[in-house]
Amino acid sequence: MALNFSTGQTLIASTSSVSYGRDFATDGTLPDGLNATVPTACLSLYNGGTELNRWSNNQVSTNVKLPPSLFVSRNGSDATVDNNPFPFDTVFRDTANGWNAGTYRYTIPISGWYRISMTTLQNTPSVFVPMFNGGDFFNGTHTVYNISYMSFAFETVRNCTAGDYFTARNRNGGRIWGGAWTYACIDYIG
Amino acid sequence: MAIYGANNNSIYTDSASSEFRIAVNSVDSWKYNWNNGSIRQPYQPIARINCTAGDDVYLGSAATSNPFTLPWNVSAPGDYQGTASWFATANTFVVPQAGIYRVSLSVLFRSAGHIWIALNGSTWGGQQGAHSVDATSYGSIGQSIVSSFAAGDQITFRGNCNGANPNGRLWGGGWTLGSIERMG
Repeated sequence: MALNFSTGQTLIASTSSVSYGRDFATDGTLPDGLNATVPTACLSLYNGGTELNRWSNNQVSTNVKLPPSLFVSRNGSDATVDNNPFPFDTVFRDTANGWNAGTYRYTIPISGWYRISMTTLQNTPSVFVPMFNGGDFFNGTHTVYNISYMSFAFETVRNCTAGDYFTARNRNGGRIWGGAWTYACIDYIG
Repeated sequence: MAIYGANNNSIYTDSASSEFRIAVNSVDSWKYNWNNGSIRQPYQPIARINCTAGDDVYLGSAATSNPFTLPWNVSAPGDYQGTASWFATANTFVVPQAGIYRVSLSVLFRSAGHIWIALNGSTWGGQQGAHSVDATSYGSIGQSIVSSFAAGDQITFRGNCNGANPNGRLWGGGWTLGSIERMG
């Protein structure tokens, strides 16, 4: 059965499954673990012929059309200079094309609340700082001694307007580990 | 087309905003944008909390048995939605509706101390701290907890000094952050 809205959208009760794309890039760095079989669709929202959202017969809902979501890492060599902005060099996921690989900036595609998390490992005097619209908004981790290593895990939420942007910087020119030890995730949450 | 139920509940589309909407008692409660896949629930409680003012927070010189409730505040209008209950009790988030919440805390220590998420005044979340920091090295920690809460539960962020290294100190100036979001 389908309910057809006048603007071209439909709400369809179905017994057929629909294929679902993978979430992770397959560059060998992270497991390609999310390319799983999706349970049979039970109720789906469509726009024209495109499925958008699904409630499956196991009562789990799936955003088939993904909202803005970013996952980047520093996968290359350690970043050892006073990088501003911090050069994340590998994009695992960017569902709304908000990441600019030239400016290392994530521009908010649509207004709303986002969850931001960043994780680093550093081992020479340095300060890793998450930034919002060009200004620091958390003062990161400070390491001082060459013989000490320090990890930094940070998470917060923020109400953003389309066009706002996030970056990070390595202040004081210390060593921020590459090799996927340093990464950032930004996700639309509502 | 719209589907209408009892009590002014409905499912309908709004072509101007490209949204499916579910209205409960005539109030739009769930909006799905079919162009970008975003779901907006304007009454879902979310709060971002900054440490009050620009000053550092001293955790006192008392023993660890004397925890201190951090002076949190909502930093500016627009940094929370769906609830006005944050201020019902000073520095306390009073859970407005039962459900699953994600609670996060990110801090920067300037001298050794502990910090944790407290439920109804008691130590509850995993205690964390930075014990090795001194005048020239700073330590940050982050923790995130997902749990079920009852309406009326009180969530606070608390800390104290390390007994061996009194005068625990957190950076103010917005460097210490908390967030609470209802997940469903």
